Amino acid sequence: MDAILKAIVDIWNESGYVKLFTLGTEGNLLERIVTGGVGNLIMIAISCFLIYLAIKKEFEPLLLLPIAFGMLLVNLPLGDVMRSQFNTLIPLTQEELAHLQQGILDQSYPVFEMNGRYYWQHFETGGLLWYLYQGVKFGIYPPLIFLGIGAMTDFGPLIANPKSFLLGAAAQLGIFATYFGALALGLTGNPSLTFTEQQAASIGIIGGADGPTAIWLTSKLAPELLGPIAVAAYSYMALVPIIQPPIMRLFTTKKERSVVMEQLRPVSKTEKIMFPIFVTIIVVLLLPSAAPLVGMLMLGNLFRESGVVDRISKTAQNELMNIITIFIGITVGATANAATFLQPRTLLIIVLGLAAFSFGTAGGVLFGKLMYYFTGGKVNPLIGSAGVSAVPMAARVSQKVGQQENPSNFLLMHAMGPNVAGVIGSAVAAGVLLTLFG
Amino acid sequence: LYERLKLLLKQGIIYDNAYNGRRWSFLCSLPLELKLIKSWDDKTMEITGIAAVAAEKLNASVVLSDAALVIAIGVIVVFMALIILTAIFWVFGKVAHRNSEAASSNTNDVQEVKQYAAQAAIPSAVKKQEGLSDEVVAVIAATVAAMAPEGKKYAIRSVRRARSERPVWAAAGVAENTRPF
Repeated sequence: MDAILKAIVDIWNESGYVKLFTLGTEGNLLERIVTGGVGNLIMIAISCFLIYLAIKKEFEPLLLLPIAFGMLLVNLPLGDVMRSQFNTLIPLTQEELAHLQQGILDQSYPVFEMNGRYYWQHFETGGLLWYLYQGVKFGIYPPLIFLGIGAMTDFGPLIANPKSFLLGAAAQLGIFATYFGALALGLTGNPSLTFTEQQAASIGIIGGADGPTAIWLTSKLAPELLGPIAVAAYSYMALVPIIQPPIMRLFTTKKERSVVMEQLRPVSKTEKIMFPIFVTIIVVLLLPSAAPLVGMLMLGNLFRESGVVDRISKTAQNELMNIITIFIGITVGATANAATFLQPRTLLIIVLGLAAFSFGTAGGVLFGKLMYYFTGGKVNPLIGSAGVSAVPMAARVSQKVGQQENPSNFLLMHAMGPNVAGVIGSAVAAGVLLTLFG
Repeated sequence: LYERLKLLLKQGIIYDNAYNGRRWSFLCSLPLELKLIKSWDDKTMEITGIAAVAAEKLNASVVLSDAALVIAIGVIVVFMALIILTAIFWVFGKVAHRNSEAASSNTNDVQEVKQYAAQAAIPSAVKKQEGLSDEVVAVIAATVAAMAPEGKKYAIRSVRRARSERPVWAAAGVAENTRPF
């Protein structure tokens, strides 16, 4: 009876439940919390809250749900879903050594000699999510998502009104402004406020309002911040309808907001086919580091517009995109373990991300205002805010705010131009940052 | 000291472990702080040596001027890329527009239109709104005739001018239906 009881106690002690209520052994209280099981407990609470936001509030559920669940999985102690594969060295016993010298092998592991001693080299496989994470680490998933986005996007409004490209560039201002802000914080001398240039650039890219681009750049420049940055980027994309309108109203007058724009000219099929080819050649020659993102985006679009590879186009925008979304979501979530996520800088990143979004919106609207003056009032500055990517949410916001001033005004198609230009713009900005800091 | 460190760096005796190489170009003119870096033997896991590394002290003006440079480069490159694209597609649009105009002024098309116009007799019974000429009715009739399937005949009973602006209720309806977008 005692033996059974002891076995049960042993199983209990080795389970994750006990682990959850431990503290780390080193450092101050905060460090002990985040390295111990209590940190995991807090992360489990956070992931459940994010799951709630995704399901009940429908905050970008397609991404937030897998991200939150990845977060949950990685914070259950001993699950080891993110453990990397590695080799352990086990010293040979005297007997095994004797066998080795006689040419008999007791185990099928390779033998490794180090300083005159012999070891078995034992290979340990990694956790499931660690293998899937390699697609993020090597920058494979984000360009594949871009392939799908390209196949879904109609660049027609942008081709009809090429001036929209400029709005897509202006709205990238937030990226650079926030980069500056994140670096300037380091001047306070407080180590928890100090970011390296790479980290600052990764935080800034949140302002591009483009999840895959943010993940792509961060995985290359500052992989240690991937969790907080992905969560910030996707949360703010869901919050675009709340963040943008006040900024849009702040910088525009009632008269500017009620401008009715001329109808867009129809775009021929030839133009739509030439577009992805031209954009690829021009952008990649100028900025080779943006090739994976821009190249895949435009390939997807060429699939769509060429009209001869319908099957591939459908796969890119549905099945492939969905599969990659699952992989990218769950593995990015799984990078958010307690030790890296429960840091004061996570909050800071979330605040800086908000600043990046706001600056980007302001940049777009102000440039829209400039275009309003230069065209003699033909451009409604509200479409500028759609220049942060967040397709098509940001364009809908322009439409909504415009309609509040003039219910018979339809800005949606006009705003789609800067909106899709913003995708290209943030990919270019990511390329610039990668070239400078990669 | 700076010159000596620079020399050591050049000879590969000390190495940069704190910052990326880019920053070393500022080496001579800036205050430095020394950092000690231990090197390990991976096999024995023993410290084999200690190297001195000169690292630039975090200096406000350098950090900010560097950052400003990055911003300038970034904004210029992003704008340059998109301005080039703007220009190209603007030209493209002009060319495409001219082509489509050339196509529509094709004489064959005019012939065809005339032919359809001839087919479409103007019934005198058409109820017209005031201010609409017979020509307008003729054009509408010709368009209907051109679009109609072969052999079928259509009659136009009334023609009235569309209102230039949506009535308030219609606008409200459209707004209601397009709100999700």
